[in-house]
Amino acid sequence: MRGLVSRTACVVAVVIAAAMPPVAEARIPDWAKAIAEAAPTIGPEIPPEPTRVLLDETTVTVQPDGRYELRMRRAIQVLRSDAGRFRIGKFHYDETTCDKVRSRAWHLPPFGRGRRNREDAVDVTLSDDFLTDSRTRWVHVDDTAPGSLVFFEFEAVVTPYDLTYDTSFGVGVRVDRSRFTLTTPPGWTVRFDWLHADGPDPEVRGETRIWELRDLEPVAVEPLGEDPNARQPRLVVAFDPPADARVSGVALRDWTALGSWFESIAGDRRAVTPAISEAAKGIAADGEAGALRRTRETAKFVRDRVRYVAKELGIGGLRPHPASEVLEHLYGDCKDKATLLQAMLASEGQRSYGVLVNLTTNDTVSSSVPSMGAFNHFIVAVPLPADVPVPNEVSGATVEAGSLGRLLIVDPTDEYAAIGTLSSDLAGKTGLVLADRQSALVRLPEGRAEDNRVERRLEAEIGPDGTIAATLVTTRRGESATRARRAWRDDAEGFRKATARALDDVWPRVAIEDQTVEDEAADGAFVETARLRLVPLRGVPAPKLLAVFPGALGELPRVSLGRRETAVVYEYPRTLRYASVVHGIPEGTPAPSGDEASGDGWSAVSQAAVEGDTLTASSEVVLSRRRFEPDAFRELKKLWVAARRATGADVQVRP
Amino acid sequence: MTPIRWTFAVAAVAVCAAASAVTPPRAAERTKLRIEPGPTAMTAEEKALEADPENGVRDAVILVEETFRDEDLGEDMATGYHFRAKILSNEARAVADIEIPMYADDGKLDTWWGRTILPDGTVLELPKSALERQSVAKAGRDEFIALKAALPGVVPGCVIDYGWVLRESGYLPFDRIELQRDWPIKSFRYEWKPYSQRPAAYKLSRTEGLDIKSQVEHQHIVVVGHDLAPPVVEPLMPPKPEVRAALVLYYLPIGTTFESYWGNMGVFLDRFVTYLTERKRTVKRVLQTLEIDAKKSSLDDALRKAYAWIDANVERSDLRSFEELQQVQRDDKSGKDPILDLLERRKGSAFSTDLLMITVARAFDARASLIFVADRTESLFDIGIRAMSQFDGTLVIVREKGSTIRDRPLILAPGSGLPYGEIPWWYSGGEGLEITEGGGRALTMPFADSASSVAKREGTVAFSDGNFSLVGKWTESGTGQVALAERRRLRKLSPEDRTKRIDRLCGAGPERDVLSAEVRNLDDPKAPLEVACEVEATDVPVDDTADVYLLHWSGPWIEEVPTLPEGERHNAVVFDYPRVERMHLAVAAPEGFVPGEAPDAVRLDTPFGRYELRITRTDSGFEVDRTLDLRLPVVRPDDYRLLRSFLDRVAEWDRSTLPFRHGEAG
Repeated sequence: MRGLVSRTACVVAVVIAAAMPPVAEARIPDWAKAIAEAAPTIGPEIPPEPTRVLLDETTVTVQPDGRYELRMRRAIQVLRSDAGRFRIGKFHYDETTCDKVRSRAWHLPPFGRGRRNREDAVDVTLSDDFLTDSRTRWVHVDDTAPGSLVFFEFEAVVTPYDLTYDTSFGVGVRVDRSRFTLTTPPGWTVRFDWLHADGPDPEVRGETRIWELRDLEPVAVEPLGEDPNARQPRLVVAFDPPADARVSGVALRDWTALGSWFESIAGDRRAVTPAISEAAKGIAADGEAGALRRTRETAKFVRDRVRYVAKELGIGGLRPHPASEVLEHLYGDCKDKATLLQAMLASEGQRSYGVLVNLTTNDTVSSSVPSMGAFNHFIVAVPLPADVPVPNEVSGATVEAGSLGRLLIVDPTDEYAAIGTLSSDLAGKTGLVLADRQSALVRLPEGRAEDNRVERRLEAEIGPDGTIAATLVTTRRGESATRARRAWRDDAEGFRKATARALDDVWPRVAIEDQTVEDEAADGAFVETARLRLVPLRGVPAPKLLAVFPGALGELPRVSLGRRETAVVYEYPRTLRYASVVHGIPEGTPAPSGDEASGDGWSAVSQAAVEGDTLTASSEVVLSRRRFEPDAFRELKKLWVAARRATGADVQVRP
Repeated sequence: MTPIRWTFAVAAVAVCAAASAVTPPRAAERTKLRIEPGPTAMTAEEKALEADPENGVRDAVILVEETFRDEDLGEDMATGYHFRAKILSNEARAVADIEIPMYADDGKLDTWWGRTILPDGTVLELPKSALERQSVAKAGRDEFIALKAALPGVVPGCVIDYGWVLRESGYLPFDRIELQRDWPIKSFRYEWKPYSQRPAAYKLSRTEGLDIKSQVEHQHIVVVGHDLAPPVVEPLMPPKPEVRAALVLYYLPIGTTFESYWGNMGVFLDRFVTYLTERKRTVKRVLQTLEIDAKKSSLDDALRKAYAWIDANVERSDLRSFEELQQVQRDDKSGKDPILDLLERRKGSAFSTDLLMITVARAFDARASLIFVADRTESLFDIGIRAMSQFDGTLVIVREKGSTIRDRPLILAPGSGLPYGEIPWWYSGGEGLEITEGGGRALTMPFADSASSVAKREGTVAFSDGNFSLVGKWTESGTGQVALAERRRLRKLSPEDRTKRIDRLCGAGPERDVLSAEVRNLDDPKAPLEVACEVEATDVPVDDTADVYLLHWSGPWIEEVPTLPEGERHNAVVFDYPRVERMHLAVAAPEGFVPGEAPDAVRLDTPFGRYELRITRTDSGFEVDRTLDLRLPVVRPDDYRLLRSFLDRVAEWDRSTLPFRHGEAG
C-alpha cells in the first residue's frame, strides 16, 4: 500500500506543478493574488489533512458612533480530494445587529483560470433555538481538486450591544497565518487579553492594531479529551470611546459595569405579579422546613414546569421575557427560567442573583477585559445564611462569594441535574454574579469525587442447581445521577437495554427479571434496582466463576493510549463504591484476595471475607483528579489496573 | 403544474398506476378540506389515559392525526393537518413546539387553530396572530420559512390540539408516509386527492396485524388506522422501511398505466441495452480486445475471460481508492459509447462493465441483460410500487440459449472484486427486476452458501511484562463476501481514517492498545484481504498467589457472536451473509504457571449452523481451534428461540476458560 501512495502522490505533484496557470491572469482580487503567488507547493506525499488555511483574517474597523465594519477573509489551499466541506465559506451573523452583509468567493483551480462565484449566497438558520436572528451565510465554489486555491470574503456593518469583540484563532485545520486587525477612531483606547494560550502584543500602526499568530496546528476531538474550543487561543478586545462620545453599544470598563448594564436591561423583568406570588406560595405551603427547602422546591418547580423554548429575537437574545409571561406560558429559555425563579423567590422574600456563565467552553472570562461574548448561559445564585451549616446534599453547589456571602448555585434550565448539585458543564467555570454595583466574578465550585458517587449493592444467592438469583441496587449522585436521569428519561427502553448489555458482558446471559427506577429521590439520587436471574444452559457446564462487582468498571471509562498524544480528561471526579454479598458458595471457597493501591489523585481498595457459604466483599475506587497529561499515562494505566484489580474479583460458584 | 421544490423528484423514465391505482378524477373538482379542530374539552377516554410504560405508553399518546392533501387545484395544492395528543411526560412537551414549513413567496396559511386543554378543563388558545415567521434558508429571491408557535401552558396530563390549512403551488411527485411513530396513535387518517391530469397510485406496506384500511372514494385515496403501536426495534432486524407500516403516494408518467408500467419499462430498457450492445462495430471491438474467438470459445469460457479481463484492466469509477481520487483528471469525461469508451480508457462505471459482459454474452446468442437490484440494508424492491427510484444498482443476468425461465440463470457482478458468479451480499435475498425483451420481471436474488465466504484467523496469545499484560498477535484473511465491503470501505478512507479503522478491526479500544496493525492486498481484488494485528491488554490481571488461573481465550481475534434478547421476536433475524469462521490460536501459559487439563471438545450442529471447539494441551500452553459455520442468512421469528439457543451456546463456549496451574513447566 505504501508503494501505491507514493506513486500516486508523485503523479499528483507533477501534474499540479505543470498545470498551475499564471496567477497574474486569474480573475481574483489583489489580496488573493498575493497569497496565491506565495502558496506553498504540494509535496510528493499525501498530506495528513485535506486542506491548509493560508490566511484567516478578521478586520474590525470601528466608526465614531460605535458601529463597526467587519470583514473576514479566508484563503484555503485544497490538498486532497476529501476537502469538499471547505468549498463552502461560512459567516455567522446576527440579522438584528448586522447590516449590509456581503459575501464573495473565488476559485483558482490547478487548471484553467480563476474566477469569482456568481451564484447566490445562501442564508441559513442553523441554531437550535426556536426563534432566532442568528444566520449563517454560505457561499461556495465548485469543482475543487487537490491544488485548488479558494478565497472567501465576507463583510458586514455591525451595531453592537457592547464595545468588545471575542475571537478564536485556529479553525480545526492547519492555519499558516491567523490575524485580527482592529482600527479605532482617534482618541479611543483599546484593551485586550489572551485566553487559553499566551499571545503576542499587537503590532501598532497609528490607530490600527494587528494581532497575528502563525502555524496553528489543528485541534483534534478525542474521546475523554479536552474541549477543542478551550485549546484554541482566544483574544478578547475592548474598544473604549472617549468619555464624552455618544455611541451605540455600551463600553464595559470593568465587570461591575457589565453587571450594571445587564441589570438595566433585565432588572425590570423580575417584577413580581399576583400570579407569581400565588404560584410561589403554593410551593412554599408545605415548606416549613426553612428557606433552603423553599428555594429548592421553587427551583424544582421552574426546572420541571417551564419547558425550554428559546425565542431569541433582537435584544431578546440578551434580555429575558417578563417573569409573569414565562409563568403564564410555562415556557422560556435559560434567562427566562432564571428570571422567573428569581421573581418567585423574591415574592417570598428570598434574595437571589442572576449569574452569567459559559456552559460550553472553559476559560472564556478575562479578569481584565469584560465582554458579553464570554457568556452563553444564565443561572441563579441564592444567598445562604452564613451562620447555618450547609447541608451535605447541597454543599457541592455552594460557593463563598466574598461580600456577597455564601451562595447556592442553581441552574433551573438543566432538567436532569438535581437542585443542589452542579453539572460538570458548570463546575469550575467563572461566572459573573449580577448584583448591580456589587457584581463580581465568582469561580463556581469544582466538582468533588464525593459529590459524584456511584454506590452499588449486590445481594446474590447461588442455588443448588447453579441458578443465581440476585438483587442489584445502584444509587447514583451528582453528575452520575444527572447523566443516568437524562438517559432514562430520553429513552427508557434504550436505558434498559444498555443496562442489560453492561451486565451481560460480566454475567453472560443474565436475565433482568424486573427493573425499577426512582429517577429523583428526595436527596437527588437516581436509584436503579434490578432483580437478576442466571440459569445455566443445558449441555454447557455452568461457569465456575462469578464476577462479584458486576458492571463496576463501566463507571470508569477508558480510552486507548497506544497512539494518544493529548491529555486524557475525565469530565468529573468520582467515587465508585461497591458492596456485595453472595450466599451459597461452595464450602471451602477461598475469599478473593483484597487489594489496596493509590497514586496521584486516585485510590483503589477492596476487601473480601468468607464465612460459611457467604462471601462479603467491598470495593472503592476514588478518582479525585480529572486530568492526565501524556507524561502521566503510566500513572493512568496504574489507576486502571488497580481499579480492575479492586473491582474484578471473581468468586468460585461451583467446585 | 410543477413538483414542489423541496421534495425529491422521482427520477426515471417510469410508467403507470397502483398496488392500487387511482382513476383520474374529473378535472379540478374543488373539494372542501375536511379538517376540523377536535373538541375543546377532554373526552372521558382522554382524561383516563395515563402513562403505562409496560404497554408502550410512556411520554404521549397521539389521539388524532389527520391529513388531507388536495393536489387537484390547478396550479395549487392545499394541505390540511390536524394533530391532537395527550402529553404524559415532560419529555413529550416538545410536540407543542409547532413548525409549519412553507415557501415564503407562495405559501399561505388559510386556517389555524392551536390550544392547550389543561387537566382542570381550562383551555389556553393560541391565536393565528401568535404564529411567528422564522427564515430557514434564503437564496436570492427564494426563501423557505417556517411559521412557528409554542403552545402555552403545556404540562403532563394536558391535551394539545392544533391544525392548519396551507395553500401553496406544486405537488409532491413521490411521498412516503410512515404510519407508526415513537408514540402510539389512536386514530389516523390520510386523505389524498391527486392531480387529475396525471395517473397516480398508492401502496400500503407492512400493515400486517395493524388496524389499517384503505379505500378510494370519489377519486380520493383514504387511509384510516386505529390503535397503531410504535414499531418494535430489535437487533439484527430488517431495515426500517421493511418493518414499519407505510403509505407511499406517487404519480405515474403521463400516458402510462399501473398494469403496464414494468412491462413498458422493461421493453424500453431492453431496447436501450440492445442498441448499445449489439452494434456490429462494438461487438467486433469487444471480442478483439478481449481476444475472444466466438467460433472456438464456449459461452462460459468467454464470460469468464471477459470477467477476468475487467478485473485485471478496468478501474471502476465508483470503486476508486482515496489515493486514486487524488489524481487530478484534466479530462475525466467519458465518450458517447460507454462500451467503446471502457475499452479505450480502461475506466468506467458498473453500468459500463455490465454492458461489456452483456455484449459478450449476446455475441454467443445468450439472452443477457441487466437486472436492477436494491441494497437490502436500505430497503427491498417492491414490485407493487411502480418506480425505478427503488433501485441502487445493476447486475448482469445471462440465460443460455434454449434455457427456460425455470432454469437457474447466471448472475454476474463484473468488476466487483468477487469471484465469478457471486454477487455483493447486500443485493442478495430480495428481488431484482430482470429486463427482458418482453418487459420487466421480478426475480429473487440468490445467497451464496457459507463455504464461499471463509474468514480465517491464526495467531498467538502470551503474557508479557511479568504477567502485567496480555499480547495477542494474529492475522485475519477472508474470501468471497468476507472482505468485500471492508475492502471497499478501507480503500475509500483517507490514510489517517484508514489507520483508525484498521486499529478498530484489530480490536483497539478502552481495554486494548494496538501495538501494530497492518492491512495487506488492499488494492489487489484477486488476493484475499489480510489484516495483521498485535494488541496488548492490561485488563486481565493474573493473581500470582492463586493455585489455579483461568484465562478466557476469546478476544478480538474472533468475531463476537451477537447477543439476542430473550422473549418474543417480531421481525426476522437478518445476517449479512452466510459464512464460515475458522480460528487457530496458540495460547502460552502465564509466567509461573503450567497448563492444566484441556477441556473436552465441543460440537454443535443445527439447521442454523455448526460450531466446533477443540482445545489441545501442549508443553507451553494450549492450542485452540474454533470453527463457526453460519449457514442461514435469514431466520424467521418462529425459529428465533432455537437460533438464540444456538448462539447462546456458541457464546458460552467462546467464553470458556483455559486452566493453568501454579508451578514451573517441565
